[in-house]
Amino acid sequence: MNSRLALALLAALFSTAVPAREAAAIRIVQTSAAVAADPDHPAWDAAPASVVKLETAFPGHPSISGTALTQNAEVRALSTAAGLAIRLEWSDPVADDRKTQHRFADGAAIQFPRDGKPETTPYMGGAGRHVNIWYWNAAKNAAENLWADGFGTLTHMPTQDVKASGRHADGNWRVAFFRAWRSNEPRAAGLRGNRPAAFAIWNGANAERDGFKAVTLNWQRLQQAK
Amino acid sequence: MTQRQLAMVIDLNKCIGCQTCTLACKSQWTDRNGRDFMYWNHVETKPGKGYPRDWEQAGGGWEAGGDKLKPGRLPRLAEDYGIPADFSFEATLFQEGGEPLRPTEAMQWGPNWEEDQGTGEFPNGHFFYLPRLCNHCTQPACLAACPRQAISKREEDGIVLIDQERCRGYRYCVAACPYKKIYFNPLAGRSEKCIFCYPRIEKGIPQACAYQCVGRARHVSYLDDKAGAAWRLVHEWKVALPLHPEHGTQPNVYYVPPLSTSTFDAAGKPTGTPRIPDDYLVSLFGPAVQPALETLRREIAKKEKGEASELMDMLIAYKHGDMFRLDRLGEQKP
Ligand code: SF4
Ligand code: SF4
Repeated sequence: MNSRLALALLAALFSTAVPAREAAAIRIVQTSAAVAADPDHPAWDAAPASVVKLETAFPGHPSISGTALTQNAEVRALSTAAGLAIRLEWSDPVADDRKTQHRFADGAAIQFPRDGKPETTPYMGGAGRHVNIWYWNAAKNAAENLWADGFGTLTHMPTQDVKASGRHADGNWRVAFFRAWRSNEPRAAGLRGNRPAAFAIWNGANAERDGFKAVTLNWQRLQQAK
Repeated sequence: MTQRQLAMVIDLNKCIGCQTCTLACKSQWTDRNGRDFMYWNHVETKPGKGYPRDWEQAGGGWEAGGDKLKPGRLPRLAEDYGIPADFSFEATLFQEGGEPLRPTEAMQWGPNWEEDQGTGEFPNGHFFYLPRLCNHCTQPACLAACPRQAISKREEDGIVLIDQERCRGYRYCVAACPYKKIYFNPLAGRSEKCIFCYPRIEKGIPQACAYQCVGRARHVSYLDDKAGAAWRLVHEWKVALPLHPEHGTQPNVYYVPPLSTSTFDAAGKPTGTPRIPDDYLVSLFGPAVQPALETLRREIAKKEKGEASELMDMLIAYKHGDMFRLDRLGEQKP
């Protein structure tokens, strides 16, 4: 056996042992604090950080090309009396928080299957199985509530009841999302109990926008702490 | 191919660079809400870098074969479009000191930055004006580039429009348009472009740029209307040509190429060679420009001899109304 083959085998073994695409479990910790969408609230310290692996999304259209830069993100989740708060934290040396004619803003999103079932495809949902997406964009520093049922179908929801706010410090973005447990939006995902969720990050400086993004390729698991 | 295609022919021998078209468009559509920097219609001096700066080197359009888009880049505000600067009216008009009127912020570029510069040395310097707007292409690269199907081409007139509800400002269209005639509005977060004045067209009124043109340089008609100027100048006389046809988008704004006077030799004698070099015109309009110029010279010569020329009469446009035929299908006059 030559050494290159041995190395390749070793690499294959190693990658089966630690699959990059395995779903991370994100523990939702209860808190009495009113965290809302405050990325710096001290209550976040009580929530364990799960690291999710990100890869360049499948492009879906010939216009979309390139390699997304963000490779992982830390996710924390807090269950408050009012609703569910999720915070994403990732490294990005420069905050792109302005959209100009030739520049794109950083962004982050959380995707939920509307029916709460992992059978819905995490790639923007599919016909009859739509997804609910919470999208934060650094230029607005606010959330947009969206739904989709396949590539190119992303649509603004009539009810905008998701909050988000981000802060960039020390080469990191911290973005907190929040929504009340109940939503009046019929297309919104339910939040109680264990839920699949997927995550996406856009690095504006790399012209990432639309389907050019770093994503978790599989559903991750949001789990209520007992 | 759409059912019908509205087309515009701009006669570069008649354009005087007055920018009335530019202002007609701007005051109608783009003077507010993040659009200040954008000129859906503008007139640039050629040869020159144009607007946005170096748009001819910014990529976009189709690969030869027409099944793949070429990459393109996004123009920058200050460097390529030019900031929409305010001017020092207050200081110039109402304060003592005789300050000349100047932008209040330093500008690096603008829609008419190189006005009348052109190229060449005295006495052989030359330039001409090139009005530009979205070409409402038959094979629009912008439309193909959009992953959201936010861009469509209307069946009834071929006008290319961006659905402002569907657009999410991804700007693949801006990169893909080889004419750089889509603009990103940072305030709205969406891309915008010339709408060929479709609300006017639907009422049978020509586009603001065409109707206001003081040079009577712009003709508008449906390409299938054989009595219209577009069909007659493009297909019958073959004197109106698309700009940069090599990009494969099949533009529907056509240009009557510019004739120019003779160069002078060192002794000050006319050489008979036109000042605007043929190869430059070929680089803009393709090889069909040479026979087109021949036809124009031949017809001008007829007119000079006092003979009749249908082509010249059409281009002279004795009656303003004759330049436009906008009847919708079924309403066409004979
Ligand atoms: S000129 Fe550009 S924006 Fe207009 S239709 Fe053609 S490709 Fe699209
Ligand atoms: S209004 Fe007519 S003559 Fe004046 S710049 Fe525009 S196209 Fe040329």
